[in-house]
Amino acid sequence: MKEIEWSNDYLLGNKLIDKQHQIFADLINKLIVAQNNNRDSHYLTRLIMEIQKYAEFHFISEENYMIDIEYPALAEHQQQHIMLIEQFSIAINSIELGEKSLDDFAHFLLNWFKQHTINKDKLIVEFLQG
Amino acid sequence: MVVVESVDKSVTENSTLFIISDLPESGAILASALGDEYKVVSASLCDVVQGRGISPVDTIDLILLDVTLATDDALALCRTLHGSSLTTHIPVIVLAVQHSEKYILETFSTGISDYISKPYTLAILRVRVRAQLTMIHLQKQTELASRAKSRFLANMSHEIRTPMNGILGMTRMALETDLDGKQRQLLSNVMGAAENLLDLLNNILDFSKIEAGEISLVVEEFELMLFLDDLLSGLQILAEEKGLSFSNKTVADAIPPVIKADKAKMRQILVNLLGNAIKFTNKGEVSLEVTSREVQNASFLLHFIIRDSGIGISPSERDCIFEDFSQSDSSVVRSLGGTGLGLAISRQLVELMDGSIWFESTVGQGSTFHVEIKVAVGQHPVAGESTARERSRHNNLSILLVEDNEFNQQIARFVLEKDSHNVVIAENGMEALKKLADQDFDLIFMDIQMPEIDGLAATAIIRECENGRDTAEIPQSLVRALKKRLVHSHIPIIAMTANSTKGDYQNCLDVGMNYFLSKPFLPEDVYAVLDSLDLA
Repeated sequence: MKEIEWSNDYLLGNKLIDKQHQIFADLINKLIVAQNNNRDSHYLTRLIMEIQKYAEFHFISEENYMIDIEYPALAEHQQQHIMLIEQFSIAINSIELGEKSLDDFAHFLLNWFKQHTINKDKLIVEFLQG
Repeated sequence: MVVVESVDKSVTENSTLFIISDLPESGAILASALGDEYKVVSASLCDVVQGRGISPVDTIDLILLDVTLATDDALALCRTLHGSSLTTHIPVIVLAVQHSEKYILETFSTGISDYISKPYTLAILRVRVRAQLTMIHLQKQTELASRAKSRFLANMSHEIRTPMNGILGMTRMALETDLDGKQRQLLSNVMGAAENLLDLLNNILDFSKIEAGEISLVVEEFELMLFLDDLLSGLQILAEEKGLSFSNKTVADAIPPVIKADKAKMRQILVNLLGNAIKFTNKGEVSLEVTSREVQNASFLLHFIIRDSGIGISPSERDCIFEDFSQSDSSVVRSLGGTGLGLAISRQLVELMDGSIWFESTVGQGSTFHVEIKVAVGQHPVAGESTARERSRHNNLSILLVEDNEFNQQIARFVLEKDSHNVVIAENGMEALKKLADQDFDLIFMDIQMPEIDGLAATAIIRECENGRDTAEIPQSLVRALKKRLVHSHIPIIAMTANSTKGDYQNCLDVGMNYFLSKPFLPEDVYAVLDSLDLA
């Protein structure tokens, strides 16, 4: 499976958010590489945990930023984050049950990153730029 | 997870889980993760909130409420589950995306048992589910053990009461014979000790029955003054023996002379409180004052005030004296006797009567106990009732006594023959039916627990025959003989049993018995029942 190729399209123009998004993409790539190299499941599980923790951290960070700038659609965006965690939860449990593969999971993360980053987080930057 | 692992997996694996989910994929994960080990029933949150798809609650052991966020709907559902008597015992685990501490605390405040933050791993889910099920299992075991102990206590008291009945009855009979002074004194002592022991057993039995919810109110009309005179005359002797003044009985004029209340329970409460007052007072006086507060025309609050000048109750003991098995000083138990159940029973009885009980006390100066009970105003003046009957108003009745216990036979025969009746004894239900077929009787005293045909079955057969109906329980020749003698009559049947729960009472009435005499009985109880019979 292919790694995320970082593109300037992902840059939103906010230093903090862009930096965190880049780390997030790196973490997803780390999982894809480990999977391609057939690393053991224990290690893969730890990488998934790293992504989960980082996602939760990033969401709180982003929400705090939105509070700072008095972003009007904070509640709606927060709801998005909650839904993303819900989907993450379903995804990792499906792997545990053997109903989905790690491959499916990486695809899920990739979409997750692209959709949320480009479609939703962009709105925050647009609000700032007025 | 000591608790979880200490319990055999087999005790939880047949449990039924009810999974309520707001997201089908998420609910499906729970069902497949837990479906191997447990029986799983699933429904959507929307359906449950709207009252659809709800599994019969009595089969559910644990509810998993799986939501993205615990919305108002979900929280309201948790409150309903916790608040309803049907579901309050079922633990609820909420699974939701953790949002904030405030949010999780709010979810817990609805009465749920556990909260699992999403994302979670299946291993954690399984162990948390098992922990809840284990907890319920242990709780049930504890309840069963406690109930078994209460039942054991009740059974033991009951078992001991039967021989006690024998001792009391035989001693009473012996006291009626020619005795010299020394013998009379010795037997009186036996009598006194046996009565004390019986009181104690009755207390334990009462307590366990009230605990089990087996006692209900029996309301009757009676004259308050006569009731109090009778009650106080017994206690007067105790007070005099200790040299206490016990003359004050003040009854407010405004109280109606005839009231409607559960006389026996009221007596028990007052005997307990006055008995305690005398027990814990070494000099001075014990008094009873009765006042009332009008509530409505038909009913009012009767307020009993029991004062003593005794040892008092220290502040540290105040919170626990109405609790079970707590007498303030264990050395008191040894020197003064008692089970420490008197006040606990009094409190339970007062609560059963929708009343209140409280007290004030100063150590070394005495205590004042208050009991307030709502009673109804009696309709009719009660005809002059003598408090202790020497005998009944009937003579020469022909009585069939059905009783398998030889002791009880002799006691009942003694009491009835003293009242100048002719007594025929049957050892069991079958023998009773044969005797009934052979000769006419005015009434029957019937024991309930007997081998083969018991008192209830025998009564049912008698009533069938009186109504001219057939029964297949006994030989047809006997049915024919019984029908011939009994048809169109209605012989009064008085149940005698040591099992005096309301259920037993109802069973007796259901098969067609007319009266209920609880063992051990006093001669005056028997005479009172005979007096209430309307015999042609």
